[in-house]
Amino acid sequence: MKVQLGNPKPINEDGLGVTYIDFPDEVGVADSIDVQDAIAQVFRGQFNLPGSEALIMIIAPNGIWKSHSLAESPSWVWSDNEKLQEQLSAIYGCPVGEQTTPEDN
Amino acid sequence: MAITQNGSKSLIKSLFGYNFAATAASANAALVTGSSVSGLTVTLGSAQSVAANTQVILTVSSTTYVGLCSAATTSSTTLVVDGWFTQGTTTVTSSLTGSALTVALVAQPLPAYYLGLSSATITNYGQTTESTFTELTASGLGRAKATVAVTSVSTPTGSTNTTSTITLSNTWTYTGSSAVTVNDIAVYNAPYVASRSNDTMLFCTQVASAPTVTTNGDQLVVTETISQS
Repeated sequence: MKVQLGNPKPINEDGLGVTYIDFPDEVGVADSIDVQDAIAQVFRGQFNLPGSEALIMIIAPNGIWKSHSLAESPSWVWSDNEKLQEQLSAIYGCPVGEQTTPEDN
Repeated sequence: MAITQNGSKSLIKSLFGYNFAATAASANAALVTGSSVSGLTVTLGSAQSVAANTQVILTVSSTTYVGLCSAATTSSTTLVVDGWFTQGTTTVTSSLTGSALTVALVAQPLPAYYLGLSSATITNYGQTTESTFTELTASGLGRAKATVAVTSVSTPTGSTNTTSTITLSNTWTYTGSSAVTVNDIAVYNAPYVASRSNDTMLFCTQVASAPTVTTNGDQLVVTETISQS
């Protein structure tokens, strides 16, 4: 499962970037989530969202996004998993973008 | 896994599966003797055809290094990796010299990484090996395949990409009922010789906040950033 996040402020680099994420197949995505509850859990830094492992790994305070960007939110999101794409777009309040390859970036 | 600035395109391709057409469907291994290594170039004792992303494992001065073949070769006595990972460190190096080596070549369908958690505190991270790292295997906190994330940034000239940050991460769901403290995380590469079923530990570091997981259903997120040199 793949996710791409438009990265307006990459850590340790100038310019615009794209963060490419490749999840093992066994990582879970929930059919639906309570977006407000998920955001509240981000602030608490403790998660109980069974089945949402992929989402948690991205949005956690010590997770992928905070390890790759100084920006609060991605400028766009894309995923080959439509549910995860929808959840990320809702949590970060950003649009769905087009898939890119590293060569395009 | 090798991580270099100059090899970033190849690395990102290999990590994200854009060019695996030439790789083997199942892992197989070969040992090649009479070889030398200089920097990122390995000279083999006999000509080999090697697929891109093949793991190249060798030992210099009692230290085992693991790299990925940058490009496929056909009946060649030389190959190039995109960096050398060392057990017990989080640093990738491109500077390596040695001769009269035994080189293991391990074809693989995908590069894979596994994260393991330990409740014990490691006192000497640089010398940690699998035998000194005790994994938590109960309560759902055992070793698990990692998610790999790479940020690619366009340069001002627009001609090349640089790789600024590469992370491995995973989330564990605790299913036990008593408290457990997680102190250390280990990063393992995929199985590296066909005759062994276990993996090789690449490095071990202390979890930044040493979290205590206490209640049924708590989820623990660990993200490990890999440095470059």
